[in-house]
Parts: sequence; structure tokens; C-alpha cells
Amino acid sequence: MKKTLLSILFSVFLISLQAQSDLFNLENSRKFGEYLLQSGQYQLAVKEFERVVFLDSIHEPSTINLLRSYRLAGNADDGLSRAAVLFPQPALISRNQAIEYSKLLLTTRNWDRANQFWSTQINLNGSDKVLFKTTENIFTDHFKEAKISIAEIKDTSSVIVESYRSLIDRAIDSPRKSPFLAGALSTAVPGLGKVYTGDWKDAIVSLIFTGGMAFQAVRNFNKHGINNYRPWVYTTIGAGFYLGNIFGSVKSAKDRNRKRINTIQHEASDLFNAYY
Amino acid sequence: MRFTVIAFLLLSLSGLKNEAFSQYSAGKYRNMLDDGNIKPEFWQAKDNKNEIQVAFSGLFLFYKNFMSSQDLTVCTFTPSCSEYGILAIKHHGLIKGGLMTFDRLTRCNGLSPQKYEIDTKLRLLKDDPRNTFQVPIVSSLK
Amino acid sequence: MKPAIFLTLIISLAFTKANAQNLEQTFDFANSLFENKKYESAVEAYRRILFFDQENLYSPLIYKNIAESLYETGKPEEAAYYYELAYFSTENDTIKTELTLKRISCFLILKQPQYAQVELFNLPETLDSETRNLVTFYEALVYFAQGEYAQSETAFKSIATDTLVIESLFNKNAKIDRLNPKTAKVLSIIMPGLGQFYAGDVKNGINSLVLSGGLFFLGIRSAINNSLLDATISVLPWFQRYYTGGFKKAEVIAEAKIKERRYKVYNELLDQFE
Repeated sequence: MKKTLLSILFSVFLISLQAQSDLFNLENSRKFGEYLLQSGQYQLAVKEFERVVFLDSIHEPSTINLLRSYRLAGNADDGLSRAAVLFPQPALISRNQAIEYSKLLLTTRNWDRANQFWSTQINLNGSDKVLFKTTENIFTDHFKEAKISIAEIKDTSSVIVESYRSLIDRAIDSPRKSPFLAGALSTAVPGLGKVYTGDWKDAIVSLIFTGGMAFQAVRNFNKHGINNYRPWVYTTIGAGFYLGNIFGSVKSAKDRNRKRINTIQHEASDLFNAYY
Repeated sequence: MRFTVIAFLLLSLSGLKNEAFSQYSAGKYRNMLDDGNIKPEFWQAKDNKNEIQVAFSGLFLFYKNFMSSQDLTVCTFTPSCSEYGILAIKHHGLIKGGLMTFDRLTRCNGLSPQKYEIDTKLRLLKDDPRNTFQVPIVSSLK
Repeated sequence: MKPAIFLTLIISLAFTKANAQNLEQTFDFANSLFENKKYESAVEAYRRILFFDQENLYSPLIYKNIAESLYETGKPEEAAYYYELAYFSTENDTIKTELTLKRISCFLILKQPQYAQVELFNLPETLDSETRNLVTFYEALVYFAQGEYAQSETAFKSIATDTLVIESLFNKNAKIDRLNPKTAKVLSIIMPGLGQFYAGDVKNGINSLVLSGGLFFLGIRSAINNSLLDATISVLPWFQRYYTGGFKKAEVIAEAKIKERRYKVYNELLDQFE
């Protein structure tokens, strides 16, 4: 009996020795896949982890790495459809898997599916769900909703929550330029709307262009009358610049607001990526 | 008979020639020198969806081939004003795209470079009518 | 009971052995892929060996093949890197020469003749005649790319079967230098389009002449019919733009023409060696 046991143990040892040197076994493939992921060879990492997950679809870190490879390789959409097959019941997957899955949803801005996922998931804790929801609100420019959702976390010691709170407040309180006012001002005087939004150099150019065309149009009307083509050419181009400037003033105001929001969104993105 | 012999000899000569030079694989180095082609390709005028787009693509191609080709780069932006125009009309329609183009012409003055991102390769300011300015949420590095 | 257990163990062992691929087997596998010209797959297998080969047993044997596979799959830059690693992991002078030649080939494909020239200095003095010819061919290409045509001609002639063709092609090449971009510019300043005609670009010559001439005519007409102010506001800026643009463009066109003709002669030279 003893002999049998010994021989079994010895054989098991031999097998494990064999397994260690097998470059294509699960463990080594995982190792190699992680190396590919870390060295930025994402397409190859996808291939490697597909094989790893095919061999063992239960192992949690491998499934996460597979989805991550898809995301980093720039194929977040493929990652999502792969996740749908990998997790038949997304509500039940572990917290880490849920975080990677959420990252895919955030990358593709698939808000419907994301909200449905966050509301049904059981392993994400309360503050995770609030943070994801707040992130969604920040990146869809809904800062009032973001303020309401982040208020659900009462704890004041968390860095990310406090930073989120402060940047949401900044976004709500910071001065905005009114697109309507900019448009109205430019309707009255070409370029004035752009002076209001701060682009005074563009305003001067607009005024010169529109004014120059109007000047030429008036001169040609006086000289040739309304039956000649020349004044009408100037009038058409001048009207184009005039209307274009009104549109441009509205756009300029919106751009100002957008840049301010985009700066805050970049900060939010940094916080999010440092935390998750 | 004589013709056949000559042809055969010539053929064998050409075969010999190929054999003798196969070690160089000269075909690999054909593009070592710049081919001097400075004629750009106007992809912006392709894939027109309706008559308006066809008409404006025609105008765009006329301008590019007969006017812009006689000029160096004078626009401060990439895409240039004419490219902006055709792209804007294709992506935002005739009215909005047209207004955007008129606005762009007044902005093309190079006086406020701080407002735009810079294309470091072309050394021009970036201003693309198709840009939606979405900030990426999740890092593309981890 | 005992034999049964023993048998199962033997079978399972044999089974794992059949499926497992250790370093050596992967190495053999990669080499067989390489020999069957499955270069893409060979590169993947070789990369895996490089990662797992902690003790550096197989890596020195791999470098040459991985470089070769990368070269064949159109990645000369990475191939040049592995050729260098292979170079420093061998002691055999014949192989070293072969690897250096491959590296030169990589740099020529990458349009970096200056690096290729550095590698040319790296070759030993004595070579067999076939290798000597190949080196001369590379030298000819490097000299041609760097504009040293006299040396390039000598090199090409020493390996060509028909030196007369080479000579006539280099005569053709010498004629290209007669086209001067600065002259094209000056000609177009004198008259729009003239520089383009001089460079051999008739389409752009006519285009420039018609455009600038038309605007000039419009300006004169406007000045006579309306006033000088009208002409200054509406036509002069356009005329100025296409006139200055025209003569600057003439220079650019002439430069491009030189490149185009050089490219053509260069390819005709290559035709002689195919």
C-alpha cells in the first residue's frame, strides 16, 4: 500500500513538473498574457486570453484580463458582446468583474445598458453604484443630477467622493456665457456677440468682412442700380458673413461653456481612473 | 529554323539573366527614393449621399484642382477652409454647414492660436467640423 | 489493483507528455513553422519562447529566425533590431556577414541609407565574389540615395552585364540636375506659368497663367470701368495671392519634378538587376 501511494505521489510530482515546463498550459498562458497586456501588445493579449478563457472560463482574473485586453486594444464593442456570452447573468458576477464590465459600458457610453446593469448588480456595493452613476452624470453634462446622486454617500472621508463633490460644485457655480445673448448681440452689431464671449479678434475680422461687403453692396447699388448683378453678389456674400457670424457667436459661447465642462470632465476622468 | 534557334538562345539568355540577379532582389528597394508625387487625393469629395452633396463636391474639386493647386498652404487650420466647408455640409446639412463655413472663414485669421489644439506634424491648428469633443472616461492605459 | 493504477499513471503521463509543449518542443514547433514559411505564426511562437526562456538557453538560437520572419512579414524595423541581437550572439564570421547584409537590406527598405552605410563599414575586407557583388549593389544604392552619382555609377557598372545601359541611364540622370527650382521661381515671377512650363508641368503652367492673367485682366478692367479703389478692394488681393502662390508653387513643382525623374531613372537602374 505504501509503495502504491509513493508511486502515485511520485507520478503526480512528475506530471506537475511536466506541466510547469509546458509553455501552453493554463498557468503559463496566463503569465504570458499578463506580460502581453503589460507590454502594450493588446491584440496578442486578446488572442492569448481568449485561449485561456476557453480552457477555463471560471477563473476570475482571466475573464477580467480578457475584457481589459479588448478594451485596451480599442475594441470595447467586441468586449461588450464577448462579455454578454461570458456572463449570462451579469447581475451575479463578482465586484471586480462588474467594475471591468462597467468600464466597458462607460467607454462605449452605453447608458441604457449601464443603468440597467448597475441597478440589478448584487456584488457592487452602494458607493460603487453611486460613483458610477455620478460619473455618468458628469460625462453627460448633468451636473445637477450628479450633485443629487453623490449626496447619497454620507461618508466625508473618501477622497474621490469629496473631489467629485468639489468639481460638481465648481461646474454648477462657474460663470456661463449665454449662447442666446451672444447671438442677439451679433444680430444687432456684427461681431459684438464674439466680443461678449471673449473672442474679440475674431469679432474684429467678422466686422471688417461684413462691413466691407455691406460697403461694397451700397456703393454698387448707388452706382449700378438694382438691376445689375454686382451689388447682389456683394449682398449675398455679405449676408452669408452676417448670418455666419450670428451662428458663430452662438457656437463661440457654447464652445466656451464646453471647454470649461471638458476641463472638469478631464479632472473627473483622472479621479475615476486613479480610483478604479 | 534560324529564328527558332535565335529565339531559344535569347530566351535562355533572359532566363540566365534572371538567375544571375536573383540574389539582389532589387524589387524590394523600388520605393527607397521619394517618387515626387505632390498631387493630393481629395477623399472629402467622395461618397456623396444626395444631389446637394454632389454639387458641392464638384465645386470643392473645381476649387482644389484649379485654384488651390496654384497656391501654397495659406489656411491656418487643418482641415483647410474648403475641406471644412465640404465636410460641414456633408455632416450638418446645407444651411448649418454653410453658416459654419462662413464663420470659419472669419476665424481663419491666425490671431488666436491659443483657442485650438495644434497638429504637431502639419504645424496647423485643428478645427474639424465632425469633432464632437467627447472626453474619454476610462483610461486607455490600464 | 496495482497494475491498474500503474497503467493509468503511465497513460496519463504519456498523455500529458503528448499535449505538453515545453521550451524545447515550442522551439522545434516554431522552427518547423518557420521552415514552412508560416512566418506570422512563427513570430508568435518565438516571442513566447523569448518570454519564457529565463536562462537564455534558446534566445540566442532564435534571434536570427525571428528577425527573418519579421523581415518576411514586412516589419523591417523590428527585424533590424533582432538581426543586431543575432549578430552579437554568434561568433561565426560568415554568419555575422550574412546578418550585416540583412540589416543593410532592412535599412534600405526603411529609406535610411545613412544607417545602411554605417553597416557597410562593418563588413570584413575579404568576401567571396557573390557576396562582394551584393555589397557592391548595396553600395550603389546607398550612393545613389545620397546623391553621390559618380560613385554609384562605378559601383553599378562593376556588377552590371551591360555597362552601356548603365552609362546611358546615368547620363539621363545627369540631365535632371539641369532643372533648377530657383530658375523656375524666377521665370514665374517674370511671367506666371513660365516656371511650370520650364519644369515640364504644362497643366499647372496653363492653370497658373490663366488664373493670374484672368485676375490681372479683371483688375485692369475694374480700374478703367469703375475706379482704382474698386480694383484694389475686390481684385488685387486675389491677384496678389495667386501671383505669389504661383511662383512659389513653381519652385515646389520643379523640386517634385526632379524627384519624380530621379525616381524613374533609379527604377530603370533597378530593372537592370532583376
